[in-house]
Amino acid sequence: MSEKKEILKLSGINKCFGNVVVAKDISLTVVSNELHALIGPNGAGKTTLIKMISGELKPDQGVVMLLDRKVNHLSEIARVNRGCIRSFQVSSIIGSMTVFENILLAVKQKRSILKMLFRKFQSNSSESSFVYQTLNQLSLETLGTKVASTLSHGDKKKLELAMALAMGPKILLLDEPFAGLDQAESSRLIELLKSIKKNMPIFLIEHDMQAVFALADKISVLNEGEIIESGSVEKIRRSKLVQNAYLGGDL
Amino acid sequence: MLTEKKFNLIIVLGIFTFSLIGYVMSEPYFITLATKIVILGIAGCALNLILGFGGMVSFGHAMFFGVGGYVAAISAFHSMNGESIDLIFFDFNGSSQMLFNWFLAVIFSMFFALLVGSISIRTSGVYFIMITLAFAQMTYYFSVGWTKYGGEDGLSTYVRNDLFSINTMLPLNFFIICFSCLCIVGFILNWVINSNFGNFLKGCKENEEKMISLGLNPYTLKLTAFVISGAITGLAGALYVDLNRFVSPTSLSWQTSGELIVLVILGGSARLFGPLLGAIVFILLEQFLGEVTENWQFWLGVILVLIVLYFPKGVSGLFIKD
Repeated sequence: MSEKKEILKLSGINKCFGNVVVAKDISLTVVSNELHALIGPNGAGKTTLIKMISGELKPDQGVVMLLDRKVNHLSEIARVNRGCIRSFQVSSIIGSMTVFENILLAVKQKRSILKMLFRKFQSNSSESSFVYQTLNQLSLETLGTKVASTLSHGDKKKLELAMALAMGPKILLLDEPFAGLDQAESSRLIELLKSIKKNMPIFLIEHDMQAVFALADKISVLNEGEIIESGSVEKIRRSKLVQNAYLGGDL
Repeated sequence: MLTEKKFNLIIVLGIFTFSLIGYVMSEPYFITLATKIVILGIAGCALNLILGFGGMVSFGHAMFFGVGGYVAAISAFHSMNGESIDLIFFDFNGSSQMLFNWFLAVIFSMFFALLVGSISIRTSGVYFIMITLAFAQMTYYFSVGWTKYGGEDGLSTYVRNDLFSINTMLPLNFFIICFSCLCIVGFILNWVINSNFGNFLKGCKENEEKMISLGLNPYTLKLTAFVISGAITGLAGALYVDLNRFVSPTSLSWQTSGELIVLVILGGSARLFGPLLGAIVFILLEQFLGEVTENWQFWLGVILVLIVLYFPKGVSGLFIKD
């Protein structure tokens, strides 16, 4: 078996908004080809943590390591360019453009301003085949010419994921990708993420426990800004601490 | 309904034909009207790059229009009276060459746009509107107090600048010069809008957060668009000075900034030549409604309200299919 490499490592992360503590000494690691899920009740500080990983917020204390490099000082954009790609709770796409164009934006993002100015927004043959390959991977191939704003909620989520994948991420940060999906869409997304996690690490924030248990290799439970338990799916299922703090009953 | 390409072609040919009719009928006034439409259209299209495609409502674009105008006028003024400007390293004697004065106008406008944009683009929404207005008002009051160049009374250049051996004082010749500039500006803006840059700029307008998550810096994208827009507006300002052979602080005033926004809204934002149609409607209303009533601006206001309410894509939205 190949050795697991640490892709993301958080050590002693603390964050306060005024007197409110939103992250208390958080440490966790995401290794290659692993899906690490973070669960917790509303207001536990999950999205704040993802914002600190992506660089939108700076931690008051602690270290964020990406691919063995400290990235605390790096901006959100610099972290994206190092492969830390994020999706949002509410689907974040460019609604006025077609599905194809949305993915093409993600493909063409690594260009200087001058190159951007002097190149037409059109795909060459290799870019086209890459975009269609990504569309196929997410079963969006029939929707390429559709305007993104007209897609169903589930397809918008898939498009956002497709954009993230098209950027060649080193790690995916997914913030509640199952929110608002029906049963059938959730099942399809579970299968999709199962295939994606074989090739890249995923840090997943999710409320849908069925999805988390189906996908996660490791789960951390966040409550009031503190990780109260971390481990395998079975360990979390059996943890009395988690049941009391989070679910108030059996998992 | 027309495709946007056909619409652009019809608008451009329409203006050209209008000018030719003026020439055939020996009505230079028609040609001057067409020239004014073309110049204001250039400024409107430039503003539209940041307003329609970038979502930045600049209420200070008259600053670049005025700066371009003043730079061209000052250069022409010094060339005319033979008095040089001491620029530390060399004495500048001014120039009566259109191309050189346009170049100066574009460079100065770019510099101002870079300066103002680098500060303004850190804000958004109503703050962006107010900060661009504040910068424009600063230049306006500076020009009012700049008595060396006419202060409140403005500066006359008496004759038009030269371009090769063309007699620029002939209305049709000057119209063709401005019309050529419009075609070049149209080509450049069309290129920018359809480039990767233009599409990322549209992305910024719609979802700035997404652009950041794609690893792009919206600030750089918006500033670049702001500088391009400022430069083209400066060129329009220089042409306007040549048209009138006069520049005054009015060209830097908030009313001029407002008029440029009106052109964009009237014609339709997010369309390449929407503001050009806006300029046609605006100038024709000013001329023909102005003959009927002194309060033509009141009726312009009514039309503007109706357009905003019922035709959010502007007058061009009535002709162009999506």
